[in-house]
Amino acid sequence: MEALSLQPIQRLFTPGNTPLVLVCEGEDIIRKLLIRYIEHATHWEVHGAGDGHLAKHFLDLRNYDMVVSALFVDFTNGLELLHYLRKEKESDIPYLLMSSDTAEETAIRAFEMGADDVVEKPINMKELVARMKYQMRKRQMSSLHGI
Amino acid sequence: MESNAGMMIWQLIIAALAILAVSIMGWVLIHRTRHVRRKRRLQKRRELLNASFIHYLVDERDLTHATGYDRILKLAGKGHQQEIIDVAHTIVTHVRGNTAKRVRAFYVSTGLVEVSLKKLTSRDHYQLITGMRELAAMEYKEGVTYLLPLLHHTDPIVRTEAHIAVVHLADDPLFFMKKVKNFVIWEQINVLNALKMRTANSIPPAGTWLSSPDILVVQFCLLVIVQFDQRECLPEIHELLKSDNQRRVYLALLAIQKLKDSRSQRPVKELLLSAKNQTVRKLAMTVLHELSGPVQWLAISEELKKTTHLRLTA
Repeated sequence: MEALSLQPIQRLFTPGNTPLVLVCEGEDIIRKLLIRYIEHATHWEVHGAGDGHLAKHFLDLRNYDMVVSALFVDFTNGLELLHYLRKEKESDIPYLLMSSDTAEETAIRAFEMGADDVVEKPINMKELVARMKYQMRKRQMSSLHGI
Repeated sequence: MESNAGMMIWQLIIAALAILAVSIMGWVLIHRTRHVRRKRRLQKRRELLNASFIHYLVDERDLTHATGYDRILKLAGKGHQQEIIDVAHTIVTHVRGNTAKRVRAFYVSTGLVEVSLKKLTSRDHYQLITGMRELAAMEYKEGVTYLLPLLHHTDPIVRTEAHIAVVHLADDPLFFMKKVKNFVIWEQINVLNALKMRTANSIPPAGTWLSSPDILVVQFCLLVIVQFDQRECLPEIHELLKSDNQRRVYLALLAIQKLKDSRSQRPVKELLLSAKNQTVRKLAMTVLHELSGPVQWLAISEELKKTTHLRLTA
C-alpha cells in the first residue's frame, strides 16, 4: 500500500474521465470552501494542499489536470509552484493563479511564466469555476485534436 | 547523637525537596494535559465550525431550514460568537460575490453584529480596532453612526482605523473631512489606501475641501484628486495657485504636474510671472516645461524672457 502511494499514478486525460484538480491555498477554511464549491459545481475530483511543499509532493504523486493556487502560500509562492510545474515537471496543464496583489507586474510575470489565468482576490466563486471550466474545455479540445 | 540528628535533618530536607519536585512535576503535567485538551477541543470546534459554514454556504440554498445554519447558531449560543465572527471575517476577506453576501447576511441576522458593536465601547484599543475592522469587513453600513465618535479618538491608530472603517461603510467616503483634525501623512496614506478599495465613481470630487484652512486637509484632497484623476477639480486647484501661502501653491503645482492637463498651462504661466519664492518658481518652470512640450516651450521661454526683462526695466 505504501509502495503504491509512493509511485506516481499515471492517468491519461480523456474527455470521459473525471478531471483531477489541485487547489493550493494556505487558509484552511478557504481551501476547504474552494474544494467543496468546485466539487459541487463541476463534479470533478478536487484535492487540497495547505502549503507549497505539500502541493509539490502531490504534483509528484498524481497527474493533475489543473492547478489552482494562491499567490502567497507557506514555504513557497504561487509563482514558484508555477515554475516547478512548468520547468521541473515539464507539465502544460492549466494553471490558475489567485492573487490579492493588484500590481500589474505580478499578473504579467505570471503570464510570462506560463500561467493560463490570473484571478483577483477576493475571489468570486462563480467566476472562478467558469474560468476553470473554460480552461478545462480548452484542454479537452486540444487533447481531442492532438495539439 | 548529634550526627544522627544532623542526618535526620538532612533526610527531612531531601524528603521535602522530593515532595516539592513531585508536586511541581504533577502540577506541570496537569497543566499541560489541560492545555492540550483545551487546544484539541478548540481545534475540534473550529473544524466543526468550518464544516458547518461550508455546508451552509455551498450545499444549502434555503436559509431557514438549514442544518449548517442551525449548527452554527447552536455554537453561537454556547458563547463562541467570537470564533464564528473570526471565521466569517476570514471568508469575506478572501471571497466576494454571493458567498460573501450570504456570510454578511448571516452575521446580521444572527445578531453577531452586536458583539462587534459592543467592542466599540471598550476601553481596550485592541478591542476597539477589532470591532471596527469586523464592521468594515462585514459592510454593516448602520455601523457608521457608532464609528463617528471614534474619529476624534486621542490615539492616532484608533483614529486611523475609524477613518478607514468610515471610508469603507459611508455612502460619501469623504464626509469625515468636515471635522478632521491632525490628519497626519501616515493617516492620509492609510485612508487613501482604503479609498482605493472603492470604485472610483463612488468617490466625490475632493475639490470642495481645497479651501479648508487646514493645510493637511488640502494635502489629502490633492492626493485624492491625483489618485482618482478628478480633473473636474482643476478650477479649484488653479484657484489654489493664487494663495499667499507658498506651501499651498507648491502642493497645487505638484498635483498639476501629476495630472498633466494642458488646461493648467495658462495659470502656471501666470504664476511663474508673479511668483517670488524661488522653490515655487523652479517647480512652476518644470511643470510648465512638461505641460507645453519642447516646441511650445521655446516660444513660452522667449515670452517669459521678454516679460521678465520688461518688468526689470520698469
